[in-house]
Amino acid sequence: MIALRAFLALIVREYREHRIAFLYFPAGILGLIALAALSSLGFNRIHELALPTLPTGLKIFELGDLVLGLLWFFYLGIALFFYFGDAFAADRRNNAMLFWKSMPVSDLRILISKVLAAFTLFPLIIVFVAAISGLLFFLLVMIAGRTLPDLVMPSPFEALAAFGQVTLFVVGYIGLALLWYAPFLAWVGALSTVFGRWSLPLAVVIPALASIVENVALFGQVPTGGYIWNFLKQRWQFGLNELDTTQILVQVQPFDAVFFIRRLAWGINWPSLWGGLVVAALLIWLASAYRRRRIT
Amino acid sequence: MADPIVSVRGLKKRFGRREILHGLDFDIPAGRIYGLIGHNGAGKTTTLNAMLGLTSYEGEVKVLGLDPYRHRARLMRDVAFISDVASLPRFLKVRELFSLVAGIHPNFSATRAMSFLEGTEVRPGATIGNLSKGMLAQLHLAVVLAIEAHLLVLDEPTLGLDITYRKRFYRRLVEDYMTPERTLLITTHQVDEIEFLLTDIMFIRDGAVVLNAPMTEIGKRFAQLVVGPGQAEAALALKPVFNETRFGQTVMVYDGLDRATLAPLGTVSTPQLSDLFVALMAREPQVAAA
Repeated sequence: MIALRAFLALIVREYREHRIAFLYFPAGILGLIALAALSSLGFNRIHELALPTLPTGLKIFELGDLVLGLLWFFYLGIALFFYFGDAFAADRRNNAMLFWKSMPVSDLRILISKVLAAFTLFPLIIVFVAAISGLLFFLLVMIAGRTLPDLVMPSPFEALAAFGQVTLFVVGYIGLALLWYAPFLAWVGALSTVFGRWSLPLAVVIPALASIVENVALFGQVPTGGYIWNFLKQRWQFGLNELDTTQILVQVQPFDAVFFIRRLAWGINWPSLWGGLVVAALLIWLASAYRRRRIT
Repeated sequence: MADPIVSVRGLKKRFGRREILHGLDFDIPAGRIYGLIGHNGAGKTTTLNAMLGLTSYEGEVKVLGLDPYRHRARLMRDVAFISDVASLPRFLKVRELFSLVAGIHPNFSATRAMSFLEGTEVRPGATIGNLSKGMLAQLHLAVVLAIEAHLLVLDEPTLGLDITYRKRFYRRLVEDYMTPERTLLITTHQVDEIEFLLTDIMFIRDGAVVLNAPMTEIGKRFAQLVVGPGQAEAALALKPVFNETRFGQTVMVYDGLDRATLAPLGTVSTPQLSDLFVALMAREPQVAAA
Protein backbone atom coordinates (compact mmCIF):
# COMPACT_ATOMS: atom_id res chain seq x y z
CA MET A 1 0.00 0.00 0.00
CA ILE A 2 2.84 2.37 0.94
CA ALA A 3 4.66 1.37 -2.24
CA LEU A 4 1.59 2.10 -4.36
CA ARG A 5 1.11 5.48 -2.68
CA ALA A 6 4.76 6.30 -3.33
CA PHE A 7 4.43 5.36 -7.00
CA LEU A 8 1.33 7.52 -7.35
CA ALA A 9 3.08 10.46 -5.68
CA LEU A 10 6.10 10.05 -7.94
CA ILE A 11 3.92 9.84 -11.05
CA VAL A 12 2.12 13.01 -9.97
CA ARG A 13 5.56 14.58 -9.53
CA GLU A 14 6.40 13.66 -13.15
CA TYR A 15 3.14 15.20 -14.28
CA ARG A 16 3.89 18.43 -12.42
CA GLU A 17 7.37 18.61 -13.84
CA HIS A 18 6.35 17.88 -17.43
CA ARG A 19 2.77 19.14 -17.66
CA ILE A 20 3.82 21.86 -20.09
CA ALA A 21 4.81 19.28 -22.71
CA PHE A 22 1.97 16.86 -22.11
CA LEU A 23 -0.97 19.09 -21.22
CA TYR A 24 -0.48 22.82 -21.69
CA PHE A 25 1.21 22.63 -25.08
CA PRO A 26 -1.28 20.11 -26.58
CA ALA A 27 -4.13 22.19 -25.15
CA GLY A 28 -2.58 25.24 -26.82
CA ILE A 29 -2.30 23.42 -30.14
CA LEU A 30 -5.91 22.32 -29.81
CA GLY A 31 -7.06 25.85 -29.08
CA LEU A 32 -5.08 27.21 -32.02
CA ILE A 33 -6.52 24.65 -34.44
CA ALA A 34 -10.04 25.27 -33.09
CA LEU A 35 -9.58 28.98 -33.72
CA ALA A 36 -8.26 28.26 -37.20
CA ALA A 37 -11.29 26.05 -37.89
CA LEU A 38 -13.63 28.76 -36.65
CA SER A 39 -11.88 31.22 -38.91
CA SER A 40 -12.39 28.92 -41.92
CA LEU A 41 -16.07 28.69 -41.05
CA GLY A 42 -16.19 32.45 -40.76
CA PHE A 43 -14.92 32.77 -44.30
CA ASN A 44 -17.54 30.17 -45.29
CA ARG A 45 -15.47 28.45 -47.97
CA ILE A 46 -16.76 24.97 -47.19
CA HIS A 47 -19.50 25.17 -49.79
CA GLU A 48 -16.77 25.47 -52.45
CA LEU A 49 -15.49 21.96 -51.68
CA ALA A 50 -15.36 20.16 -55.01
CA LEU A 51 -15.11 16.41 -54.57
CA PRO A 52 -16.08 14.08 -57.45
CA THR A 53 -18.10 11.89 -55.11
CA LEU A 54 -18.77 13.29 -51.69
CA PRO A 55 -18.24 10.66 -48.96
CA THR A 56 -20.78 10.40 -46.18
CA GLY A 57 -20.47 12.67 -43.19
CA LEU A 58 -19.73 9.60 -41.07
CA LYS A 59 -16.82 8.57 -43.30
CA ILE A 60 -15.37 12.08 -43.28
CA PHE A 61 -15.61 12.15 -39.50
CA GLU A 62 -14.05 8.70 -39.07
CA LEU A 63 -11.14 9.41 -41.39
CA GLY A 64 -10.58 12.88 -39.98
CA ASP A 65 -10.69 11.59 -36.43
CA LEU A 66 -8.24 8.79 -37.30
CA VAL A 67 -5.85 11.25 -38.91
CA LEU A 68 -6.08 13.49 -35.84
CA GLY A 69 -5.42 10.48 -33.62
CA LEU A 70 -2.39 9.60 -35.74
CA LEU A 71 -1.07 13.17 -35.52
CA TRP A 72 -1.46 13.14 -31.75
CA PHE A 73 0.35 9.81 -31.68
CA PHE A 74 3.26 11.44 -33.50
CA TYR A 75 3.17 14.30 -31.02
CA LEU A 76 3.25 11.82 -28.13
CA GLY A 77 6.17 9.95 -29.68
CA ILE A 78 8.23 13.13 -30.07
CA ALA A 79 7.29 14.39 -26.61
CA LEU A 80 8.23 11.04 -25.03
CA PHE A 81 11.56 11.02 -26.87
CA PHE A 82 12.40 14.40 -25.32
CA TYR A 83 10.87 13.35 -21.98
CA PHE A 84 13.14 10.31 -21.68
CA GLY A 85 16.07 12.46 -22.72
CA ASP A 86 15.29 14.97 -19.99
CA ALA A 87 13.50 13.27 -17.10
CA PHE A 88 16.17 10.65 -16.41
CA ALA A 89 18.72 13.41 -15.87
CA ALA A 90 16.39 16.03 -14.37
CA ASP A 91 17.28 15.18 -10.77
CA ARG A 92 20.90 16.08 -11.39
CA ARG A 93 20.01 19.72 -12.02
CA ASN A 94 20.31 22.18 -9.12
CA ASN A 95 21.75 19.45 -6.90
CA ALA A 96 18.22 17.99 -6.61
CA MET A 97 19.67 14.47 -6.49
CA LEU A 98 20.56 15.11 -2.84
CA PHE A 99 16.91 15.81 -2.04
CA TRP A 100 15.68 12.67 -3.79
CA LYS A 101 18.36 10.57 -2.11
CA SER A 102 17.08 11.80 1.25
CA MET A 103 13.70 10.22 0.53
CA PRO A 104 12.91 6.58 1.33
CA VAL A 105 12.63 5.54 -2.29
CA SER A 106 15.20 3.61 -4.24
CA ASP A 107 16.72 4.90 -7.47
CA LEU A 108 15.11 2.01 -9.32
CA ARG A 109 11.68 2.96 -8.02
CA ILE A 110 12.16 6.58 -9.08
CA LEU A 111 13.14 5.53 -12.60
CA ILE A 112 10.24 3.05 -12.79
CA SER A 113 7.87 5.86 -11.80
CA LYS A 114 9.21 7.92 -14.71
CA VAL A 115 8.60 5.01 -17.08
CA LEU A 116 5.13 4.44 -15.65
CA ALA A 117 4.25 8.10 -16.12
CA ALA A 118 5.46 7.87 -19.71
CA PHE A 119 3.48 4.71 -20.41
CA THR A 120 0.26 5.50 -18.58
CA LEU A 121 -0.48 9.07 -17.54
CA PHE A 122 1.03 10.99 -20.45
CA PRO A 123 -0.52 8.79 -23.17
CA LEU A 124 -3.88 9.03 -21.36
CA ILE A 125 -3.65 12.81 -21.44
CA ILE A 126 -2.82 12.75 -25.14
CA VAL A 127 -5.68 10.31 -25.83
CA PHE A 128 -7.96 12.71 -23.97
CA VAL A 129 -6.70 15.62 -26.05
CA ALA A 130 -7.10 13.50 -29.21
CA ALA A 131 -10.68 12.73 -28.18
CA ILE A 132 -11.45 16.40 -27.69
CA SER A 133 -9.94 17.22 -31.08
CA GLY A 134 -12.16 14.46 -32.53
CA LEU A 135 -15.22 16.08 -30.97
CA LEU A 136 -14.21 19.46 -32.33
CA PHE A 137 -13.77 17.89 -35.75
CA PHE A 138 -17.23 16.36 -35.45
CA LEU A 139 -18.64 19.84 -34.80
CA LEU A 140 -16.88 21.02 -37.92
CA VAL A 141 -18.39 18.17 -39.95
CA MET A 142 -21.83 18.98 -38.51
CA ILE A 143 -21.50 22.59 -39.57
CA ALA A 144 -20.25 21.48 -43.00
CA GLY A 145 -23.32 19.24 -43.24
CA ARG A 146 -25.57 22.26 -42.89
CA THR A 147 -23.65 24.06 -45.65
CA LEU A 148 -23.40 21.12 -48.06
CA PRO A 149 -26.88 19.70 -48.76
CA ASP A 150 -25.44 16.58 -50.52
CA LEU A 151 -23.51 15.53 -47.46
CA VAL A 152 -25.28 12.68 -45.70
CA MET A 153 -24.95 13.26 -41.97
CA PRO A 154 -24.88 10.45 -39.41
CA SER A 155 -27.40 10.18 -36.61
CA PRO A 156 -26.11 11.21 -33.16
CA PHE A 157 -25.95 7.51 -32.19
CA GLU A 158 -23.91 6.61 -35.30
CA ALA A 159 -21.59 9.54 -34.67
CA LEU A 160 -21.10 8.60 -31.03
CA ALA A 161 -20.43 4.97 -31.98
CA ALA A 162 -17.87 6.06 -34.58
CA PHE A 163 -16.24 8.39 -32.07
CA GLY A 164 -16.00 5.53 -29.57
CA GLN A 165 -14.56 3.15 -32.18
CA VAL A 166 -11.90 5.60 -33.32
CA THR A 167 -10.96 6.49 -29.73
CA LEU A 168 -10.70 2.79 -28.88
CA PHE A 169 -8.46 2.24 -31.89
CA VAL A 170 -6.25 5.20 -30.93
CA VAL A 171 -5.91 3.75 -27.40
CA GLY A 172 -5.03 0.30 -28.79
CA TYR A 173 -2.64 1.73 -31.37
CA ILE A 174 -0.81 3.91 -28.85
CA GLY A 175 -0.67 1.09 -26.28
CA LEU A 176 0.87 -1.40 -28.70
CA ALA A 177 3.19 1.21 -30.18
CA LEU A 178 4.51 2.13 -26.74
CA LEU A 179 5.24 -1.50 -25.99
CA TRP A 180 6.94 -1.88 -29.37
CA TYR A 181 9.12 1.22 -29.00
CA ALA A 182 9.77 0.71 -25.25
CA PRO A 183 13.40 -0.44 -25.75
CA PHE A 184 14.21 2.66 -27.79
CA LEU A 185 12.70 4.97 -25.15
CA ALA A 186 14.50 3.07 -22.38
CA TRP A 187 17.72 3.40 -24.39
CA VAL A 188 17.26 7.19 -24.51
CA GLY A 189 16.47 7.23 -20.77
CA ALA A 190 19.50 5.12 -19.86
CA LEU A 191 21.77 7.36 -21.94
CA SER A 192 20.19 10.40 -20.31
CA THR A 193 21.06 9.06 -16.85
CA VAL A 194 24.70 9.10 -17.89
CA PHE A 195 24.98 11.91 -20.44
CA GLY A 196 22.02 14.17 -19.62
CA ARG A 197 20.42 15.87 -22.62
CA TRP A 198 23.25 14.72 -24.87
CA SER A 199 21.33 11.45 -24.85
CA LEU A 200 19.03 12.89 -27.52
CA PRO A 201 21.60 12.98 -30.33
CA LEU A 202 23.56 10.05 -28.87
CA ALA A 203 20.50 7.79 -29.02
CA VAL A 204 20.73 8.01 -32.80
CA VAL A 205 24.46 8.61 -33.26
CA ILE A 206 25.60 5.51 -31.34
CA PRO A 207 23.59 2.96 -33.38
CA ALA A 208 24.41 4.84 -36.59
CA LEU A 209 28.11 4.74 -35.73
CA ALA A 210 27.90 1.05 -34.82
CA SER A 211 26.27 0.37 -38.17
CA ILE A 212 28.93 2.34 -40.06
CA VAL A 213 31.74 0.56 -38.20
CA GLU A 214 30.14 -2.80 -38.98
CA ASN A 215 29.82 -1.97 -42.66
CA VAL A 216 33.37 -0.66 -42.94
CA ALA A 217 34.99 -3.40 -40.87
CA LEU A 218 33.08 -6.23 -42.53
CA PHE A 219 32.89 -4.69 -45.98
CA GLY A 220 31.51 -7.21 -48.43
CA GLN A 221 30.91 -9.79 -45.72
CA VAL A 222 27.54 -8.49 -44.52
CA PRO A 223 24.19 -8.05 -46.29
CA THR A 224 23.51 -4.66 -47.86
CA GLY A 225 23.35 -2.11 -45.06
CA GLY A 226 24.75 -4.54 -42.49
CA TYR A 227 23.09 -6.60 -39.77
CA ILE A 228 22.70 -3.71 -37.35
CA TRP A 229 21.03 -1.39 -39.83
CA ASN A 230 18.69 -4.10 -41.11
CA PHE A 231 17.74 -5.09 -37.58
CA LEU A 232 17.04 -1.48 -36.58
CA LYS A 233 15.05 -0.89 -39.78
CA GLN A 234 12.91 -3.94 -39.13
CA ARG A 235 12.58 -3.03 -35.42
CA TRP A 236 11.49 0.50 -36.27
CA GLN A 237 8.53 -0.56 -38.43
CA PHE A 238 5.15 -0.49 -36.74
CA GLY A 239 1.58 0.04 -37.87
CA LEU A 240 -1.11 -1.31 -40.13
CA ASN A 241 -0.02 -2.68 -43.48
CA GLU A 242 -0.93 -1.03 -46.77
CA LEU A 243 -3.88 -3.36 -47.35
CA ASP A 244 -5.49 -2.51 -44.02
CA THR A 245 -4.90 1.20 -44.55
CA THR A 246 -6.56 1.02 -47.96
CA GLN A 247 -9.47 -0.89 -46.45
CA ILE A 248 -10.00 1.86 -43.89
CA LEU A 249 -10.02 4.44 -46.67
CA VAL A 250 -12.45 2.72 -49.01
CA GLN A 251 -14.74 0.58 -46.87
CA VAL A 252 -18.33 1.75 -46.56
CA GLN A 253 -19.03 -0.07 -43.31
CA PRO A 254 -18.51 1.84 -40.06
CA PHE A 255 -14.96 1.66 -38.68
CA ASP A 256 -14.43 -1.42 -36.50
CA ALA A 257 -11.73 -0.71 -33.90
CA VAL A 258 -11.47 -4.27 -32.59
CA PHE A 259 -10.96 -5.66 -36.08
CA PHE A 260 -8.15 -3.27 -36.89
CA ILE A 261 -6.49 -3.63 -33.48
CA ARG A 262 -6.47 -7.36 -34.14
CA ARG A 263 -4.94 -6.71 -37.56
CA LEU A 264 -2.34 -4.50 -35.92
CA ALA A 265 -1.56 -7.14 -33.29
CA TRP A 266 -1.39 -9.80 -35.99
CA GLY A 267 1.31 -7.84 -37.80
CA ILE A 268 3.46 -7.52 -34.69
CA ASN A 269 6.49 -9.75 -34.21
CA TRP A 270 5.60 -10.77 -30.65
CA PRO A 271 8.86 -12.51 -29.70
CA SER A 272 10.63 -9.33 -30.79
CA LEU A 273 8.22 -7.23 -28.71
CA TRP A 274 8.73 -9.33 -25.59
CA GLY A 275 12.46 -9.38 -26.17
CA GLY A 276 12.36 -5.60 -26.49
CA LEU A 277 10.55 -5.29 -23.18
CA VAL A 278 13.20 -7.43 -21.49
CA VAL A 279 15.90 -5.18 -22.99
CA ALA A 280 13.98 -2.10 -21.82
CA ALA A 281 13.75 -3.50 -18.27
CA LEU A 282 17.47 -4.29 -18.31
CA LEU A 283 18.33 -0.78 -19.51
CA ILE A 284 16.22 0.80 -16.77
CA TRP A 285 17.87 -1.41 -14.17
CA LEU A 286 21.34 -0.49 -15.45
CA ALA A 287 20.37 3.19 -15.38
CA SER A 288 19.23 2.83 -11.75
CA ALA A 289 22.48 1.07 -10.83
CA TYR A 290 24.43 3.98 -12.34
CA ARG A 291 22.20 6.57 -10.68
CA ARG A 292 22.67 4.83 -7.33
CA ARG A 293 26.34 5.74 -7.52
CA ARG A 294 25.69 9.39 -8.38
CA ILE A 295 24.91 12.21 -5.98
CA THR A 296 25.29 15.07 -8.44
CA MET B 1 24.32 0.27 27.22
CA ALA B 2 22.03 0.91 24.26
CA ASP B 3 23.31 0.25 20.75
CA PRO B 4 24.78 3.33 19.11
CA ILE B 5 22.77 5.02 16.38
CA VAL B 6 25.86 5.06 14.17
CA SER B 7 28.72 2.60 14.34
CA VAL B 8 31.71 3.01 12.05
CA ARG B 9 34.66 0.61 11.91
CA GLY B 10 37.64 0.91 9.59
CA LEU B 11 35.85 3.25 7.18
CA LYS B 12 37.99 3.86 4.12
CA LYS B 13 37.17 5.59 0.90
CA ARG B 14 39.23 5.94 -2.23
CA PHE B 15 38.72 8.12 -5.27
CA GLY B 16 40.86 6.46 -7.87
CA ARG B 17 44.23 5.76 -6.26
CA ARG B 18 43.81 8.47 -3.65
CA GLU B 19 42.58 7.38 -0.24
CA ILE B 20 40.35 10.05 1.26
CA LEU B 21 39.34 8.32 4.50
CA HIS B 22 41.96 6.27 6.29
CA GLY B 23 40.02 3.80 8.40
CA LEU B 24 37.74 5.83 10.66
CA ASP B 25 36.36 4.29 13.86
CA PHE B 26 33.65 5.95 15.91
CA ASP B 27 30.23 5.44 17.48
CA ILE B 28 27.43 7.96 17.85
CA PRO B 29 25.02 7.16 20.68
CA ALA B 30 21.36 8.18 20.70
CA GLY B 31 20.23 11.53 22.03
CA ARG B 32 23.47 13.38 21.26
CA ILE B 33 24.23 16.43 19.17
CA TYR B 34 27.46 15.79 17.31
CA GLY B 35 29.51 18.37 15.52
CA LEU B 36 31.68 17.00 12.75
CA ILE B 37 34.33 19.59 12.10
CA GLY B 38 37.14 19.74 9.60
CA HIS B 39 38.80 21.76 6.87
CA ASN B 40 37.55 21.71 3.30
CA GLY B 41 38.62 18.37 1.84
CA ALA B 42 39.20 16.81 5.27
CA GLY B 43 36.64 14.07 4.51
CA LYS B 44 33.58 15.30 6.44
CA THR B 45 31.13 15.11 3.57
CA THR B 46 32.57 11.80 2.36
CA THR B 47 32.08 10.40 5.87
CA LEU B 48 28.51 11.66 5.93
CA ASN B 49 27.86 10.31 2.43
CA ALA B 50 29.06 6.88 3.55
CA MET B 51 26.77 7.05 6.59
CA LEU B 52 23.82 8.06 4.42
CA GLY B 53 24.37 5.36 1.81
CA LEU B 54 25.25 7.87 -0.88
CA THR B 55 28.62 6.40 -1.68
CA SER B 56 30.33 3.03 -1.54
CA TYR B 57 33.14 2.44 0.97
CA GLU B 58 35.44 -0.10 2.57
CA GLY B 59 34.96 -1.07 6.20
CA GLU B 60 31.81 -1.46 8.23
CA VAL B 61 29.18 1.22 8.70
CA LYS B 62 25.93 0.60 10.55
CA VAL B 63 23.29 3.27 10.93
CA LEU B 64 20.29 2.23 13.00
CA GLY B 65 21.52 -1.32 12.51
CA LEU B 66 21.47 -1.14 8.72
CA ASP B 67 24.20 -1.09 6.10
CA PRO B 68 23.47 2.33 4.58
CA TYR B 69 24.77 1.62 1.08
CA ARG B 70 22.72 -1.55 0.72
CA HIS B 71 19.58 -0.22 2.40
CA ARG B 72 19.56 3.53 1.74
CA ALA B 73 15.86 3.70 0.87
CA ARG B 74 14.87 1.72 3.99
CA LEU B 75 17.20 3.79 6.15
CA MET B 76 15.76 7.08 4.95
CA ARG B 77 12.48 6.28 6.70
CA ASP B 78 14.28 6.98 9.99
CA VAL B 79 17.03 9.31 8.88
CA ALA B 80 16.58 12.82 7.55
CA PHE B 81 19.32 14.91 6.04
CA ILE B 82 20.02 18.23 4.44
CA SER B 83 23.12 18.40 2.29
CA ASP B 84 22.20 21.49 0.34
CA VAL B 85 19.16 23.61 1.05
CA ALA B 86 19.00 24.60 -2.62
CA SER B 87 18.37 21.00 -3.65
CA LEU B 88 14.58 21.10 -3.26
CA PRO B 89 12.74 20.49 -6.55
CA ARG B 90 12.28 23.96 -8.02
CA PHE B 91 9.35 23.24 -10.30
CA LEU B 92 7.02 22.48 -7.36
CA LYS B 93 4.97 24.83 -5.23
CA VAL B 94 5.47 24.54 -1.47
CA ARG B 95 2.16 22.74 -0.92
CA GLU B 96 2.90 20.40 -3.83
CA LEU B 97 6.24 19.55 -2.22
CA PHE B 98 4.51 18.66 1.06
CA SER B 99 1.97 16.57 -0.79
CA LEU B 100 4.73 14.76 -2.68
CA VAL B 101 6.81 14.05 0.43
CA ALA B 102 3.67 12.92 2.27
CA GLY B 103 3.09 10.44 -0.57
CA ILE B 104 6.56 8.93 -0.54
CA HIS B 105 7.63 9.27 3.09
CA PRO B 106 5.65 7.23 5.63
CA ASN B 107 6.99 9.27 8.58
CA PHE B 108 6.31 12.73 7.18
CA SER B 109 3.41 14.95 8.26
CA ALA B 110 2.40 17.72 5.87
CA THR B 111 0.37 19.37 8.65
CA ARG B 112 3.43 19.54 10.88
CA ALA B 113 5.54 20.90 8.04
CA MET B 114 2.93 23.58 7.36
CA SER B 115 2.91 24.49 11.04
CA PHE B 116 6.68 24.95 10.99
CA LEU B 117 6.27 27.49 8.22
CA GLU B 118 3.92 29.65 10.28
CA GLY B 119 5.61 32.92 11.09
CA THR B 120 7.94 32.67 8.10
CA GLU B 121 7.65 34.40 4.76
CA VAL B 122 7.27 31.10 2.91
CA ARG B 123 3.75 30.81 1.47
CA PRO B 124 2.16 27.44 0.55
CA GLY B 125 1.38 28.68 -2.96
CA ALA B 126 4.91 29.92 -3.65
CA THR B 127 6.98 28.20 -6.33
CA ILE B 128 10.16 26.85 -4.77
CA GLY B 129 12.31 28.15 -7.62
CA ASN B 130 11.25 31.69 -6.71
CA LEU B 131 12.23 31.49 -3.02
CA SER B 132 15.31 33.21 -1.62
CA LYS B 133 18.08 31.08 -0.15
CA GLY B 134 16.97 31.98 3.39
CA MET B 135 13.41 30.93 2.61
CA LEU B 136 14.67 27.71 1.04
CA ALA B 137 16.55 26.94 4.25
CA GLN B 138 13.39 27.52 6.28
CA LEU B 139 11.37 25.35 3.94
CA HIS B 140 13.91 22.52 3.88
CA LEU B 141 14.16 22.62 7.66
CA ALA B 142 10.35 22.47 7.89
CA VAL B 143 10.41 19.36 5.69
CA VAL B 144 13.01 17.51 7.76
CA LEU B 145 11.51 18.60 11.08
CA ALA B 146 8.18 17.16 9.97
CA ILE B 147 9.81 13.76 9.50
CA GLU B 148 9.72 11.50 12.56
CA ALA B 149 13.40 10.63 12.21
CA HIS B 150 15.79 9.14 14.74
CA LEU B 151 18.82 10.73 13.15
CA LEU B 152 19.08 14.10 11.46
CA VAL B 153 22.21 14.87 9.46
CA LEU B 154 22.98 18.42 8.40
CA ASP B 155 25.92 19.01 6.08
CA GLU B 156 26.80 22.71 6.03
CA PRO B 157 23.07 23.52 6.28
CA THR B 158 23.49 27.26 6.63
CA LEU B 159 26.09 27.79 3.93
CA GLY B 160 25.41 31.08 2.17
CA LEU B 161 22.80 32.26 4.68
CA ASP B 162 23.08 35.53 6.53
CA ILE B 163 23.52 35.63 10.30
CA THR B 164 19.81 36.19 11.02
CA TYR B 165 18.74 33.09 9.14
CA ARG B 166 21.58 31.04 10.60
CA LYS B 167 20.61 31.88 14.17
CA ARG B 168 16.91 31.25 13.46
CA PHE B 169 17.80 27.95 11.80
CA TYR B 170 19.72 26.59 14.78
CA ARG B 171 17.23 27.89 17.34
CA ARG B 172 14.40 26.15 15.52
CA LEU B 173 16.44 22.99 15.31
CA VAL B 174 17.00 22.79 19.04
CA GLU B 175 13.45 23.82 19.94
CA ASP B 176 11.55 21.69 17.46
CA TYR B 177 13.69 18.67 16.71
CA MET B 178 15.71 17.57 19.68
CA THR B 179 14.32 14.99 22.09
CA PRO B 180 16.28 12.49 24.22
CA GLU B 181 15.68 9.78 21.59
CA ARG B 182 16.87 11.78 18.64
CA THR B 183 20.38 12.32 17.39
CA LEU B 184 21.70 15.24 15.44
CA LEU B 185 24.90 15.34 13.41
CA ILE B 186 26.07 18.66 12.01
CA THR B 187 29.00 19.71 9.92
CA THR B 188 29.75 23.37 9.49
CA HIS B 189 32.56 25.83 9.18
CA GLN B 190 30.88 28.30 11.52
CA VAL B 191 32.06 26.43 14.60
CA ASP B 192 31.23 29.26 17.02
CA GLU B 193 27.58 29.29 16.01
CA ILE B 194 26.92 25.67 16.87
CA GLU B 195 29.16 25.38 19.92
CA PHE B 196 26.28 26.18 22.27
CA LEU B 197 24.16 23.28 21.07
CA LEU B 198 26.75 20.49 20.75
CA THR B 199 27.07 17.65 23.22
CA ASP B 200 29.97 16.03 21.38
CA ILE B 201 32.64 17.08 18.96
CA MET B 202 34.55 15.20 16.33
CA PHE B 203 37.43 16.73 14.40
CA ILE B 204 38.48 15.17 11.13
CA ARG B 205 41.79 16.06 9.56
CA ASP B 206 43.08 14.58 6.29
CA GLY B 207 40.68 11.65 6.47
CA ALA B 208 41.38 10.68 10.08
CA VAL B 209 39.61 11.44 13.36
CA VAL B 210 41.88 13.62 15.49
CA LEU B 211 39.43 14.30 18.29
CA ASN B 212 36.19 12.59 19.33
CA ALA B 213 35.01 13.70 22.75
CA PRO B 214 31.98 14.98 24.68
CA MET B 215 31.98 18.75 25.13
CA THR B 216 32.11 18.25 28.89
CA GLU B 217 35.46 16.54 28.48
CA ILE B 218 36.91 19.34 26.36
CA GLY B 219 37.11 21.69 29.35
CA LYS B 220 38.75 19.03 31.47
CA ARG B 221 41.18 17.82 28.86
CA PHE B 222 42.30 20.97 27.06
CA ALA B 223 43.69 24.13 28.56
CA GLN B 224 44.66 27.40 26.95
CA LEU B 225 47.50 29.41 28.38
CA VAL B 226 48.21 33.06 27.71
CA VAL B 227 51.88 32.98 28.52
CA GLY B 228 53.10 35.46 31.09
CA PRO B 229 56.21 37.64 30.59
CA GLY B 230 59.41 35.59 30.56
CA GLN B 231 57.58 32.26 30.80
CA ALA B 232 57.70 31.22 27.14
CA GLU B 233 60.61 28.81 27.52
CA ALA B 234 58.99 27.07 30.47
CA ALA B 235 55.60 26.92 28.72
CA LEU B 236 57.14 25.41 25.59
CA ALA B 237 58.90 22.80 27.69
CA LEU B 238 55.47 21.47 28.71
CA LYS B 239 54.85 20.49 25.04
CA PRO B 240 51.77 22.44 23.96
CA VAL B 241 49.80 21.00 21.04
CA PHE B 242 49.60 24.48 19.56
CA ASN B 243 51.05 27.87 20.02
CA GLU B 244 50.70 31.21 18.32
CA THR B 245 51.18 34.90 18.93
CA ARG B 246 48.06 37.08 18.92
CA PHE B 247 48.26 40.82 19.35
CA GLY B 248 51.60 40.52 21.06
CA GLN B 249 50.47 37.72 23.38
CA THR B 250 51.71 34.16 23.13
CA VAL B 251 48.89 31.64 23.43
CA MET B 252 49.46 27.92 23.87
CA VAL B 253 47.02 25.02 23.99
CA TYR B 254 47.71 21.88 26.04
CA ASP B 255 46.13 18.47 25.91
CA GLY B 256 45.74 16.53 29.15
CA LEU B 257 47.90 18.76 31.30
CA ASP B 258 46.91 19.68 34.83
CA ARG B 259 45.86 23.32 35.07
CA ALA B 260 47.72 23.70 38.34
CA THR B 261 50.96 23.06 36.45
CA LEU B 262 50.14 25.81 33.97
CA ALA B 263 48.82 28.40 36.41
CA PRO B 264 52.24 29.82 37.40
CA LEU B 265 53.10 30.40 33.71
CA GLY B 266 50.26 32.77 32.85
CA THR B 267 46.49 32.96 32.51
CA VAL B 268 44.77 29.59 32.07
CA SER B 269 41.34 29.15 30.49
CA THR B 270 39.28 26.64 28.51
CA PRO B 271 39.82 27.13 24.78
CA GLN B 272 36.89 28.12 22.59
CA LEU B 273 35.92 25.47 20.06
CA SER B 274 37.23 27.66 17.25
CA ASP B 275 40.59 27.98 19.05
CA LEU B 276 40.71 24.25 19.59
CA PHE B 277 39.86 23.75 15.93
CA VAL B 278 42.76 25.96 14.87
CA ALA B 279 45.02 24.24 17.39
CA LEU B 280 44.25 20.66 16.41
CA MET B 281 43.64 21.08 12.72
CA ALA B 282 46.87 22.89 11.87
CA ARG B 283 48.60 20.74 9.26
CA GLU B 284 52.04 22.23 10.01
CA PRO B 285 53.40 21.82 13.53
CA GLN B 286 52.91 25.27 15.07
CA VAL B 287 54.96 24.58 18.16
CA ALA B 288 58.25 24.58 16.27
CA ALA B 289 57.56 28.10 15.04
CA ALA B 290 57.69 29.57 18.53
